[in-house]
Amino acid sequence: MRLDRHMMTIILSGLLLGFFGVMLSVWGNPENSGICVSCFIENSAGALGLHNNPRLQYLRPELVGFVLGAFASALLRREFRSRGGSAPLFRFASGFFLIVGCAVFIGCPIKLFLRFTAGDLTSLAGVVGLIVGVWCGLKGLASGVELGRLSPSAAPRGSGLLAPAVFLMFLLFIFISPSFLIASEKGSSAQHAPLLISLAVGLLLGFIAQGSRFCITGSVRDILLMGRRAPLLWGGTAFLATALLVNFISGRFNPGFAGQPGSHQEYLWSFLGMVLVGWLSVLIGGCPFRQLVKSGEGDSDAALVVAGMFLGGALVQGWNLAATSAGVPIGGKIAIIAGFVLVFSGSILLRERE
Amino acid sequence: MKFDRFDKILISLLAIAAVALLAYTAQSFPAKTTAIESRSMERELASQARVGLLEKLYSPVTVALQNGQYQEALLKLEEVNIRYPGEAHGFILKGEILYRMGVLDGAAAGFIRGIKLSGDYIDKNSPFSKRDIIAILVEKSLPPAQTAYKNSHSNPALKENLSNLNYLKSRLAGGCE
Repeated sequence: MRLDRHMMTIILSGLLLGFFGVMLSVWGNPENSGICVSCFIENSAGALGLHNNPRLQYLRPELVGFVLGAFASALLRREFRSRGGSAPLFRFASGFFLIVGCAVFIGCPIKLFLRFTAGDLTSLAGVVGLIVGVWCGLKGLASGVELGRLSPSAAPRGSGLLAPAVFLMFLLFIFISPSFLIASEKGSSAQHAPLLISLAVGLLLGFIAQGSRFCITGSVRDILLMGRRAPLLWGGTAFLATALLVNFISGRFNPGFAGQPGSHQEYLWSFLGMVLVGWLSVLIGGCPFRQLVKSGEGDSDAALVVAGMFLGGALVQGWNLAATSAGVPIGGKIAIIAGFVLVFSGSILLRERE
Repeated sequence: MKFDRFDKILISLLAIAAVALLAYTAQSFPAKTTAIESRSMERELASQARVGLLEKLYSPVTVALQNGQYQEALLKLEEVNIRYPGEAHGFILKGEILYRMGVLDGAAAGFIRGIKLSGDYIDKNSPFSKRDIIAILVEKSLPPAQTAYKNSHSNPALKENLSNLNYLKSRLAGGCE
């Protein structure tokens, strides 16, 4: 392992994500959900009136922070470039199904490992699923499944500013609370860390992750490809070790299968949900968190994924697709299978053949 | 970069739009929002109305329950349930009555049906919160339910009871819903 500046940034990203991932729960976010991009998107979609579940409506400041922090970092590093134009509708649909996969598992890849490091052994099915999904995605890439290259010329100049502008508007909404914005007074969305802390943590993580390119599925991908030589292996290890340590110290480590917060015991569907998330993430170049960060640095394709994720956040609640502690509803199972139909058909159609 | 006439017109229009946007945004600040426009207010009104209605509808049941007349409370509950089947509050009250009668597996089943319909009953701050009683039920019932299931894996009733208690434990533990 060469401990250069880039490696240090990656390790720092892992450390901060693990530390704040647990601490945000200590400060008020729901148990094991200090950071969960899919939960935050479902909450924020509800806050904007896109679904009507009164227990899941809160514009999460962390989400805004991720995008604007990445935007600030990209500007400072002179890495902000408007780019895009590769398979936009496929990416939009992928964003939708990323949230479906996460909602059936109950959590994004970051929360998957936060749950695991808090002793939630039901998440093991998701861990295996994510690894299998990333492996399948890599096999697809190796066989020529290609969404096309990102091109600055394919995206109109300045179009990459739209995503940060939208999230800047959300930031304004947080502070001026327009009358159409909804905030739950009960349920898991009523549980949140203090606003300024959440926002500051989001900005910091977005800023650091833009520089390091840290991503959970990216870490799994690089480990599968490069083994111990993968720099993201050390970032991932730092994330897991820190989260485990902070969970232990804060008394949140409760190992077991039954009665874990925000979990269910339908292991097959947890597995399949995360296979879908892992596979799609490899195809579109990053997990939900990474898509937010990329949308902040001018990637309009990632912004389309984020738009798809918001639609997913609204519909998993509106159509009752999301799993709860009671299990996975039939609609969620059908949506997962539909997601695989997208992955398989997309892989056939988008494959480059000689 | 050189600006031609068209650019200058666009920049002027952009400036006008930005000023108008700021002006209208300032007008819509919460201080100038009337109470009835606020969704939170509407929601609060609906919530208060629901609390009042449920208290009124189920008062014969709660009175009997408070007086320790559990059989009568069950009968009164059945009467209300004929008019309002599928109401979460009815299932929760049934769970509470059965709990007081010592029928713990029936109590767990009642609480679950109610909580699945409305998570308010497990919230700490809800006016109808049954969190404390459910926590005691889980604490009391889970160890014997685990032992019973270990000794008889093939019994579906024991399996369902254990699964019910694990669900309640998970809801008590919190997390995203």
